[in-house]
Amino acid sequence: MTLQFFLTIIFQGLAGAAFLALVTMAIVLIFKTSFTTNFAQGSIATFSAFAVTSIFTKFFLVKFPDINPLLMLLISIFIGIIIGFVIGLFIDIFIIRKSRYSNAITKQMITMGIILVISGLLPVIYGIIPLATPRPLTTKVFQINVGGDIPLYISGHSLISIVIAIIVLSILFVALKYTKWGLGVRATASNETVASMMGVNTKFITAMSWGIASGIGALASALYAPTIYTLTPDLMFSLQINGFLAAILGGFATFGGPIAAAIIIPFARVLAWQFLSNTWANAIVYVLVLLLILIKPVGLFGKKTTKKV
Amino acid sequence: MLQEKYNVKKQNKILQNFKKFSKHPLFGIFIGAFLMVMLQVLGKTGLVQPSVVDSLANIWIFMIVGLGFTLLLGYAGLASLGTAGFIGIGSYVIAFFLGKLGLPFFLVFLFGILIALVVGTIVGFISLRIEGMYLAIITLGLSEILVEFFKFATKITNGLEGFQLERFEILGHLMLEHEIYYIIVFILILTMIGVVNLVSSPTGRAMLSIKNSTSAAQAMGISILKYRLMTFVLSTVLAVVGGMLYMMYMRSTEPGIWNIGLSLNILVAIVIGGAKSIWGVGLGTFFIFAFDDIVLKNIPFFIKYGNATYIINGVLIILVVMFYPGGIVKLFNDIIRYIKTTAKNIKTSWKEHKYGKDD
Repeated sequence: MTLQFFLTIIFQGLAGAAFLALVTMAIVLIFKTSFTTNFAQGSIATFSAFAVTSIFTKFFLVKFPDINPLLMLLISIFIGIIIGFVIGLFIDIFIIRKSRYSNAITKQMITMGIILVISGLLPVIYGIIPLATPRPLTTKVFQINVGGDIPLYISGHSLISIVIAIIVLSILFVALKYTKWGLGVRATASNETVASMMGVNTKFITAMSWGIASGIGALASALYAPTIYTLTPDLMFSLQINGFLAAILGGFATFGGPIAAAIIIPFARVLAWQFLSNTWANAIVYVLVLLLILIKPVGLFGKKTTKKV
Repeated sequence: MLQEKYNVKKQNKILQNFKKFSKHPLFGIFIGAFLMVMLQVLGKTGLVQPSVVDSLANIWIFMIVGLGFTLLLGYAGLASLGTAGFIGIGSYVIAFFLGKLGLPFFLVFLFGILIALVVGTIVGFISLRIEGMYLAIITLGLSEILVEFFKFATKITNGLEGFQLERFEILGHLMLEHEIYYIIVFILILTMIGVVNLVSSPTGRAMLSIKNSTSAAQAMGISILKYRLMTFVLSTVLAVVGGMLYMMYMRSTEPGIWNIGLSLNILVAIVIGGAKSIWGVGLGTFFIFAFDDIVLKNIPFFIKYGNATYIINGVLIILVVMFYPGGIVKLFNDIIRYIKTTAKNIKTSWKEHKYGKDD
């Protein structure tokens, strides 16, 4: 195995892991505070990705054609994140909070309903799909050749995405560890009733978690959309399934476990793609993950919790 | 004089017998079957448009699937998102073995059920390991694997293009569209009778007890292994049968149909209608699949934005889950109860008015 090949695998794995880690983080954050898996995560993110592209192409490029497009794109992405944040807050305050004492499966069904609502709203709000192609942050492509027949092409956009993902995730981990909000999330996660007795404003914590999770999702989708060149209603679908599987594989008990799994899964896919089969890489990874989950249902890094009857 | 009295008595007896008969759980099913067959007959005479009959056949097929799903969700309390994948299996079984290889129909049908048994057993075993809300994710993953298979196993599934099925023969007879409609209705009726009997049998009660509390059910000596496996196998078989019927009637399949949207729609149909009653399943599937096709698709707003009907489905499931967990069926029951109680109240107040208050 040459160094070139090694670098290819590392880069492709990291590029996939950047988006997946963001999505998984968002899923786990909501799971920790609301005790349900948010199926609408991907839909909210898709909604924001559509917003980013349509704001950028229909508003900024038309109204201000002279300003630097990168700046405008960054502003659009920022607006997209805020839209995601607001949708998340809205869903928690008006829907999830009202059904906080129902069981997890009921809440899941509510989030599935939200998927349907959002996928119905997409064409109504943004016009008939497909929309314009999402714009990458940079079109630069780096070329590395360390002893191989074909040079390794690294797209600048993926590189920036990896950096952004690492920064955002580090900020989140620091925030979870050292801020009041992070302490509140951990307290709510371990026991909601006791946390509220101890003066933690669990409603605020949960609402903020929904907002932040949806914001992260929006960021992930805004960065992910340019890498596949199209905007479709099921843009985030496969990322979301992978995110869920990563969260289960890592175990919902910790924040680190799911992120680790979210890094493992894209690398497994790249390896399967390189060594086993081009077409079946996805299916092979799914089967492997399912088998692992069957062997260890609490997850690779999870702890077994005993349930009282 | 005497003869007249006798006639009145006889009429009363017939009425009483009818009342007794109409209380029987299968009575409604036979009325439903009669209506379903009549619709097709009317469709032949031209009173009902053929496109309406087509979308009705579609509804009956999804009702079969929904009946399987209601066992899972309403009686065993397991939310699964793999339904669309299982229906897809059925459609591809017919497409490949009947359409491409030309095997005899009954063999293919049995083979489809065999595949369903195997898949259902696998999913059932998974459901034993993985509890509650994780199951929806796992079944979603399984469904994705199935879709990948439909997409990339090009030798069997013809890849992204999918299959178009030619007319086929059963026992040497070339099947016409309305004959397949009757087969669908026949299987639907069989399924309904089976489900009604199942849920009121000890098996149904065992399933319910597992849904309400796994530990309590286990303590009462109910084998979770047995009943969960059974529920999953039954619902998978019904989904695959639904898929086979779909392929026989619609005669085309492609991987794009069997996506999460369909699974979600089936879930929404069951939840809106009422997950614990076969009439709820009927109402729900009718609402989701027919309301879209027959009513909403004629409104300009929904013609312009094809997917906008999803908004209504989504809002409905959220509202039903949050405020009215019984579904539409419960609404009907509540209205009937309300009418009965008000009628009673009016009767007593009228009597009080007429004869004075009873102290």
